Amino acid sequence: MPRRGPSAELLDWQQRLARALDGVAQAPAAGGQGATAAETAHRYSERIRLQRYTPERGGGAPVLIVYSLVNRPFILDLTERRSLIRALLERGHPVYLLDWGYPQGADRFLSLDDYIGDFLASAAEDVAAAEGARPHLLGVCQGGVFALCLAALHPERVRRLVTLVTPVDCRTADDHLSRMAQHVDFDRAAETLGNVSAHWLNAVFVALKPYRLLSQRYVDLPELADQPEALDDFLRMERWMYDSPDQAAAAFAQFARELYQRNRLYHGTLALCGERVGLDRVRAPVLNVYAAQDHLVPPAAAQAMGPLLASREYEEIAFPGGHLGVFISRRAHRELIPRIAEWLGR
Amino acid sequence: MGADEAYGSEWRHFRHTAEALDALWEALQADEAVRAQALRSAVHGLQGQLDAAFTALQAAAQAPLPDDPEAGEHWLGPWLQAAARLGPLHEQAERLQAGRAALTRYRQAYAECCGLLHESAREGLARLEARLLEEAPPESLRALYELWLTEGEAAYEALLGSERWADAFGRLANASTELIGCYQAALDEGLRTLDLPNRQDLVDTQRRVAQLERQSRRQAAAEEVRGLRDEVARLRAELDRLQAAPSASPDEPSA
Repeated sequence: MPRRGPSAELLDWQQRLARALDGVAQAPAAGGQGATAAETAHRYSERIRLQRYTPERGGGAPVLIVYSLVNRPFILDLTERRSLIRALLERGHPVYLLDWGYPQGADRFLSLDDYIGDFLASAAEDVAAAEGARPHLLGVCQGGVFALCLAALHPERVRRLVTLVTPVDCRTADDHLSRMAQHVDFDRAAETLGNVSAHWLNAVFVALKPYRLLSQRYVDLPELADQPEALDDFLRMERWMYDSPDQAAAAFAQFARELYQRNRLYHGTLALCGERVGLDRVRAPVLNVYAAQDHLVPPAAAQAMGPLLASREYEEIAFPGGHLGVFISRRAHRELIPRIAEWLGR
Repeated sequence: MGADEAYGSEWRHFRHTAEALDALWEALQADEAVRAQALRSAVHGLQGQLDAAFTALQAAAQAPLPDDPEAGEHWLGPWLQAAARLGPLHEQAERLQAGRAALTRYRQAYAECCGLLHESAREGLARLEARLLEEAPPESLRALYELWLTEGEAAYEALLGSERWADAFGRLANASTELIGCYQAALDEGLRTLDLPNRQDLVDTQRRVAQLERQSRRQAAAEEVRGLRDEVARLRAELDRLQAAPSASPDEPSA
């Protein structure tokens, strides 16, 4: 019997890889912008602005999206077919997005007090003034923490609150990111290195899943050789993954120390703007969405939220998949986003 | 090492790895009677490639520093440290020694992390070998790759979840910060001697800009609140005035 060799399989893979790389070369450069047009409603600094997306028909209360500082928010509006923002607009919600921009050298002293107590609090107030109604808050990952803090500091500014993949207990046993952060002297790093380089932070995130992100992702690339639309999505994701802003040094050190090392949000001992930020002060209805296979925010880290809130209306959705699947997977657009929209409309 | 030599070395490593993989594939196709032995031997070849790559990384971190008086003569170390505390240039000498110590700590931390990653990659191969010995041979290269991915990742995640890795990563991050801080101090000192602006000056300026911006932001917010309070007071006064006025409407017929 002739011995089965790997040559044919390898040759086939190489040929498809070559076609995929041709496709990559010919694809238009993926921009760092979302698919939906927006206008700037307010500017809070040279770099931080409030973007407004206008729905074709009205009827819904405004939604203020609070994204994480770590990546760019265009993943919420990645393509026309995969856009959380567009899904909310289609249901009549005016959508606002607080765009944190790219911090520069002089922003190294921006703290969480500035981000939450000044910029986010002002944005919630400005949306309410412009729309004549308190906004729903939709916080994503670290942005979910910010939204929770605002809802604790200023309960009157929040109508309903959705948190997506948001950590509350940052010391759960399966949290590798947290474990890696435990012995790092973040204050000294912030003082010495200034703003945290996006490259360094990306390296840390990639180091949590190197086999998938550095190997499998590209070994699978030839499968997209004859699917221009899927290849385009892949390139937009690629652009998004590494299009990361540097992190303002003070805020980064404060977040890592207070949340990841001391777990103060969970213990109710976090203080911002001179006030305690206890989740027992959050009264707004809360929908807590987490991903069942999330390696960045393990389910237990997000599930810890419920018992700490004062809200009478609290719901959880455990969505199958990883961290990003919550915003970009087809299943999320088919099943999860309609549920979020329905919950906001209650 | 020159660029050509480095490229040649990379290429040789790649070629040897490809040969080791080829041997593994051959072993998987071998008759059942000899497959286990052939598999062990092939995995051993891959481990050799892995060891060579990590050994090179660790050797770079452990090589003696150029002009390091302590490298060959360890007994000199304490004497040099004592000497650095004496004389008119003792501050500079102490800074120099602190920088050298920071570099040593950084290299040790780097070597420690490499060592742990090496262990994890070896463990991944060992797990792969165990799976290959237990199960029917994978039917395609892709299936073999998936097995390696699963087992390699499992071993890596075990490392990520360990206290050893958290300690080592913390040491590496802190040692990098310390080392960069030493370079910054030396550079700042040199620039100050030349009366040129240095990092400390820039950071001080940035701090003042940030304070001014924050102050101005909060002042604007306070002014807005004051304006709103004034408006509320004016509206209240207007309401009081309207309530105090006669309630009869001019359109209503008088009784």
